[in-house]
Amino acid sequence: MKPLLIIDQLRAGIEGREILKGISLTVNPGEVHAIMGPNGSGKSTLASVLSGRSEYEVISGSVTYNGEDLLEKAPEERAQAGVFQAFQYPVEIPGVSTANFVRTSLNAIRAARGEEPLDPSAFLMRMKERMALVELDPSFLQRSLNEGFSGGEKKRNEIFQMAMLEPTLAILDETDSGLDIDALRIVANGVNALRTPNNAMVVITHYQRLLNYIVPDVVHVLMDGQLVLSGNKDLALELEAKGYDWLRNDGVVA
Amino acid sequence: MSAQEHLVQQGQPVQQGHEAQQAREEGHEHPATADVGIATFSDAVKATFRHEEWKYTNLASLITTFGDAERATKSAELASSDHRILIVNGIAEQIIPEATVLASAPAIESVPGTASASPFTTYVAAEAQCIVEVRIPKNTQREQPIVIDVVTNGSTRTMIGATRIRIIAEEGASVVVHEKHHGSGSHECMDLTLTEIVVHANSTVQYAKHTQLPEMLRHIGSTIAHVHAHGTLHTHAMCLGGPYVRNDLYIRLEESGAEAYLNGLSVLRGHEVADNHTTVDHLVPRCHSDELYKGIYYDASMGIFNGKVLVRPDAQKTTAYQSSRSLLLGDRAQINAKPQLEIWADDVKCSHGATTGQLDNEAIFYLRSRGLTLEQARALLVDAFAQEMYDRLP
Repeated sequence: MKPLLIIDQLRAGIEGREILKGISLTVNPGEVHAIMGPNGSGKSTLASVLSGRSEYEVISGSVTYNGEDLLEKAPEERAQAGVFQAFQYPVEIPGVSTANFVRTSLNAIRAARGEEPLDPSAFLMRMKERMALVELDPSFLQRSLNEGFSGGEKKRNEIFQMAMLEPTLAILDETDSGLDIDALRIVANGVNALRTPNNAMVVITHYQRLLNYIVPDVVHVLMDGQLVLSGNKDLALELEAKGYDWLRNDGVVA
Repeated sequence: MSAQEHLVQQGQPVQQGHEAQQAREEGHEHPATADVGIATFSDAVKATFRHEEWKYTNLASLITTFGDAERATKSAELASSDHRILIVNGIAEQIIPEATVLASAPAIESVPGTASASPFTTYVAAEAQCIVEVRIPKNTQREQPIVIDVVTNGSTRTMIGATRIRIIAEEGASVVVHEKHHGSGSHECMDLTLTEIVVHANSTVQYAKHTQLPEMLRHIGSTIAHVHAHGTLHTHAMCLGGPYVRNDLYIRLEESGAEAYLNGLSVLRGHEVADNHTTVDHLVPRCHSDELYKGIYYDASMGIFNGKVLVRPDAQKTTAYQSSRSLLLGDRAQINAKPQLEIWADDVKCSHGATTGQLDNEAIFYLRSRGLTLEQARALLVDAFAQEMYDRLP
């Protein structure tokens, strides 16, 4: 099987400070990878580099997506190539309705792929169906994007957009943060419904609890800018029980 | 994005705007217009020389260009229409059943530092060939908006159109008026317009002034409104292009319960200029005003927003809010925003704020990461910024 994403010896940082100190990771189609780690380990830097935030600089290493250099691509080119990031803090945009935004987004991606815009009735049906997936009321479509949404509503809106755009690679950055248990279940159900043998997900999280709902194939532990340990879903449970210090105390990490 | 928000809630006179204050101290207020003979356009221009309120206007070029411009004199044949009034070069050509064409109208009382004291107001009040007066009878809710097309036609030579309009909503009436300014012809033209609005007790007037002018047309307009008990006035200054647009708006809240909502949107490109001067005058207790002017400035365009709020000594329990927000999208674009609050009453709630900035980079990144190009992301955010003002239009 041809890997979907290959991160090879990636070193990156911000403002001259190296945060990621050589990360390697291979994700195959159909897989869900969880990246766990304590605060300050480099989780959000990894997410930012993958999404193309210009303030982060790549020092060395490479990221190959579908055989292409991902780091060369502008943020919109990544989206057009099928990469989606669910943000930890989705931006509020007054004056842009959710429906208008999603339509513009979907059609921009379709246009980049040489596809016709979705016709309005098909688009509307698809929106209603995908909103139901994350239990968002259709009234949100007419509201300004994320403006005045609760934390849970913002995260559900992210997963709704993911459902609309049907990405090949989804990166979920701390999607569980700030969610109560019901919202967590709704978000996870939405994500699970979108899993196919052809797409893959990278779930970045501090806590194990999301992984009770989105069961990963591989769990990686990120500490001090390096992936120090990988295992199956049981590794997440062990981390939850013992805490990240267990790895330090056990000598896995210096 | 720099933001400045103040809440003023006290009794001492508050004077915002350093230069204006200086101008008052030095006695450079507008001269009382009765003392000045303003028989020609050039007289009006000369009366504004070296005046603070006109510092951004190229006055010398106005005299050079329009010093010997023609004025239309011939009365046109008057046609009728249900909803559209047409005025060409200051002469009424088409009116509606509620309108009459008058030869004279009551004088404008001049209040220093407001649109009523502008030399151009004086000039149009004295020199307009005809006055179109729209009167909405008592308790009449006019369903269809009235459109007043003000056309300045310079097809044969340089023209000055001097247009005078009066809009009167009698007690309990309501009406929507769109005043649209146009131009045609290849010669330079000046469109001077004076619009008076009287909002009688319990009536509502929604007045939108649209300027989207061709390259050959400039506009200097004054709007003076009187709002009576529990009357409501909404104004909209839509400045969507033109080499030079000057709007002087003066709203007098004359009886308790009067409300004024002032809205403005400027979208300018190239070297276009939109100069908006507004004054809300709270004369009596328990009136309310709320003002929001937005601007989007591309290229080397320039916006001016000078917003005065006067709260007179008797005007206790006033609530007055003002905000101006600008997006500077051109390297040489500029906005000069000057709020001026002058408060003599002590039991009032007033606030003002002005923001100037570029588009939010976080929002642009979010949109790009959803597949929009940089240009699409910027356009969507600019539209969103403007949309609020379009949504408010009647």
